[in-house]
Amino acid sequence: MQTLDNRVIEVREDKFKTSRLIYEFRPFIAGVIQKRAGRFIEYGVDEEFSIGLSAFKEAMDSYDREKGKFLSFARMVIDRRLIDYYRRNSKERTIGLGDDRLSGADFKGNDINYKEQYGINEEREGRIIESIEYRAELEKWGINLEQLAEISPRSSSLREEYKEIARSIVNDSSILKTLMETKRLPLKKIENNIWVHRKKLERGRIYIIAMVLAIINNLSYIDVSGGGDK
Amino acid sequence: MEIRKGYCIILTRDGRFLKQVIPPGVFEVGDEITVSEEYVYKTKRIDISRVKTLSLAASIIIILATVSFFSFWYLKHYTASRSADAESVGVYVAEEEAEVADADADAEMIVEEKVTEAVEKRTIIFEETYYFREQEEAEEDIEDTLSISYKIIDDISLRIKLRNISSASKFDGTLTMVMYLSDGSESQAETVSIDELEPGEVTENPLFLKTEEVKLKVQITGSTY
Repeated sequence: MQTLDNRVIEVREDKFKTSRLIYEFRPFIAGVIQKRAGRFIEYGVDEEFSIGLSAFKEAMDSYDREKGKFLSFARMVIDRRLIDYYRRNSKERTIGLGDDRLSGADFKGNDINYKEQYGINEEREGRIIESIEYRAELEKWGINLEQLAEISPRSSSLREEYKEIARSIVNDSSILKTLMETKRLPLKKIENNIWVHRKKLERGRIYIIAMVLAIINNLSYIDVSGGGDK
Repeated sequence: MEIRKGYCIILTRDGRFLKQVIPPGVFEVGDEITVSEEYVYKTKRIDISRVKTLSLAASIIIILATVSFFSFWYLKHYTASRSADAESVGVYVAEEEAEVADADADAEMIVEEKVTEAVEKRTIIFEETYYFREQEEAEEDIEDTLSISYKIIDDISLRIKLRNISSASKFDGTLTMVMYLSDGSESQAETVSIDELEPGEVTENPLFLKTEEVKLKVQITGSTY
């Protein structure tokens, strides 16, 4: 699977793919902004979000592997641009001599030692990327996280049952193929292969699909292997 | 997984999606937090049964009122129109024959126009300003030759499409897109060269949107041949 760092370098000449990547990473951008702003930031409403999007694009344009991991670099660029923005809009100006606004070309990882301040450890970076990619995958299926939070089974035994069904679907190539092609659970086929009541399947349909996608996309931080809780 | 106003959506290790109340500006996507039932976010719920009853009552009233109105209107007009029907059939047949003759004449005209269109070289100069925050998408034809449209995509970019809608002419020219801020100052501009845009062909150009931008000016100059 292509790493994020490679993907950034590959897509930045293509405007559509760049837009797509920025769109997928909106939650990450919003998170960085919210941490600096200390409040919730709304897409398309708060100006900080626009600053964040521009900064993320700037990070994409100026990124190279010598700068380390892309997400750490992007986080730094977003944060610095927000600082610039808040300084410009602050009533009490505290800037000293000269203009310390940095251009994209000035973001040299070695000079600024940003890795200590903004560096994201590998495990956390993996979670960020997996979250973003999983969310994007769910969106392609018309499923959003809000919906999943509403219908997610509260009982752990029911969740295990649904995960078991998801594993059976992934292991059966014919059912999986039908699911991928039609984007619907082939309830009758599943009923015939696995001992489960149709009503149960219907009620857990969206959650089961989410678990199938988690297995296919190797979502590492939830346990879908059938070995119990991590 | 996602941060919303006042809460976040998390995915637990055993696969439960959950809404959890969090303080603003503390967490980012990818952070691990400890789940607590005390901080589970509960969505406010409306009393659905009451809404259903009121909706049903309103629907019945509307249906009864509509049926009564149309019944009255139909009865009033039905008796008057019955006698006029017999005469109108003969007139209708004659009109149909005239329509067929017109259609043949139109077909001849279309063939002539196509031939003329193919040969004629025309200059096109077009300029228009769109307030895309008020109207998120729009389409406009230019002299029956080109069609310009724009659409906001994902709140991130503005996609501008130029399509050749003629049947036989190609188009060569330039497309200039200028974005303006609310104070009227220019924010960004881009000029794209269009070479041999064939009939039916489309060229797409995305512009990366900034929150403060409110207006798009489009200028097209070129010629068809």
